[in-house]
Amino acid sequence: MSKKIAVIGLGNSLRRDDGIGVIILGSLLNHYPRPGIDYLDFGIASFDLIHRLQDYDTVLLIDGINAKLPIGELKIFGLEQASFTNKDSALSSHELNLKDIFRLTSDLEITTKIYVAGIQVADVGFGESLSGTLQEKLQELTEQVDKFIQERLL
Amino acid sequence: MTKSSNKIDSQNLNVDVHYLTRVEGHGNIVVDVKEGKLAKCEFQVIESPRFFESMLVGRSIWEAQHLTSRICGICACGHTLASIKAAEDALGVKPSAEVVMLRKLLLYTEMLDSHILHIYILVAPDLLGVKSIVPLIKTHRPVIEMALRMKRMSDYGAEVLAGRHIHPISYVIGGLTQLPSREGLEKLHTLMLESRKDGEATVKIIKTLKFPQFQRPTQYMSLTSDDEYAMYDGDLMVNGEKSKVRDYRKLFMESVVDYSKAKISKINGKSYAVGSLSRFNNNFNKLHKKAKAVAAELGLKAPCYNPYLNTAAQLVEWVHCLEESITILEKILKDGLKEEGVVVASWPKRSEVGKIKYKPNTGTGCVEVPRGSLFHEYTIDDSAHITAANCVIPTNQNIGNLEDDMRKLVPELLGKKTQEEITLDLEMLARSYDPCISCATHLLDVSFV
Repeated sequence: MSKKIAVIGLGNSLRRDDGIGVIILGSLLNHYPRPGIDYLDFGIASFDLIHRLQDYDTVLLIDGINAKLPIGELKIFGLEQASFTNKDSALSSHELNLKDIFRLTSDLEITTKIYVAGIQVADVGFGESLSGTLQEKLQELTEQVDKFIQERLL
Repeated sequence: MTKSSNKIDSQNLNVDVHYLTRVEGHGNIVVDVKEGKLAKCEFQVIESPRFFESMLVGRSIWEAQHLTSRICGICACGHTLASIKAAEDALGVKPSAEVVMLRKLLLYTEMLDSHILHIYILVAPDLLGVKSIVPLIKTHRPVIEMALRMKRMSDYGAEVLAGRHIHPISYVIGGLTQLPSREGLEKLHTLMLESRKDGEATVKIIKTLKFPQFQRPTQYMSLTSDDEYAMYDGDLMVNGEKSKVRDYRKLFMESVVDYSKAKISKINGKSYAVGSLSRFNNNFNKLHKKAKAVAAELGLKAPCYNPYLNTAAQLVEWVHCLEESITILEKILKDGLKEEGVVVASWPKRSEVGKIKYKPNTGTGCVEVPRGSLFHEYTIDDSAHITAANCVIPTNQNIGNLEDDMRKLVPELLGKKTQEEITLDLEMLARSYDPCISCATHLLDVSFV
């Protein structure tokens, strides 16, 4: 039986760079759709991610991050390679508090292998366009994510 | 040290909850009692949906529901439907009975989803004395698994009906861009039938939990209808009087306060409540008989003046929505769905763009979403572009009422409870309204190890 794989875009496309995960997902679908992979736009969904993670062997989450990296830099990592902080750590259902989702995933013994493709953002103010650097790097970022999918997930 | 020795005096208290946890978005509670007088009592919202309204201006009316569905990760379907109704009102479009039935089904699935999230994930930890559901995974694992199973059912409903489980894409002005698959509807029907036993188990669990005792009668506003327990359509009901949805601006007044980015709404100069308890109080007689039985089992009677019991009203509504959904699904599976009258294009034909002149108009749409009455109002020009937009979300409408509740509650607790207990009671009170403070970003701060 073949591995079940999902690529999931996260973020609020009405908050500029916060929507980068969803935008890259769309770009992957338009330019590099790969058979056998489910491409899912999860937008600003939160808790429901847990159900979806359970449905797959491997999941790549694409999302904007704040990791003090150069703007537009992509870092793809497994959960064990990073530590996460949020301003408020108690569970919030509305913001996609990935830290809590990851914690719950672990406590619920969900065995899905989870990778995060995190892109350093610059501007998460209200608006529908990406900031300059991210817009310029969109094609390059899409290619980098697809390369990872091709080399590591398939 | 015993708790009783920690009881604070009745003259001074300072509560500053920054941020309130287990609500959607960011809000603060600030209460200050000085020399026995309540000097400050505020629920501060520090995020504002006004920017979304600005984004709508200048956009085509056909884009509105897709944009507004991204306002909220919980009420995406409700925003979509309120938006479509406002657009249809402005354009003079009348959807078919089948389309309305499918919209109601979508609204019910969102209600099922949000209510179970609030009951189990956001409120239950308070009633069980823990900070979040994380410790409950160890102590109440079967219950948490049941909650997740119930949520999965309703998530699947949105996926089958609206094209994906969040941010609906197939529901548009006039109808749907595609019919939901029969296979998907059959699976959803099966999942809903199976969910009945989880609902029954949930009632038994909630019955054992102790909600704080507090009473404050207020004004309760909701949609109402002679035909059904109103969620998708109807007139506005408050104090036993009906108003037309399009007259909502005459019914309640919104004002700006300096400590919050959310506006405060009042009817006849007084605060009012929206949400499950308001709907329950106004429309109890229209509930499904199984939902009425659950209300009786929980000891919930209309009118109920205890805002903490909004959670119990949500469970009653969960049963109502499940049964109504099953009824609709059985009708669809028996009669089938006809593409004619349901399936429409999501956008006017390219050949018609620019040629058709529309009547400049204002349209209003209101639906009941999990937290209460949600209004969208758009004004369009002769090219059907939006020139003005107004969205009134339930949480904003509840803030004035929550603050009035706090003003009554705090003096009742002074001298009887500790600072921590009072703070928790205030947090629980705010959480009971299930506030949905419009979406923030969700950025993770990451450091690599």
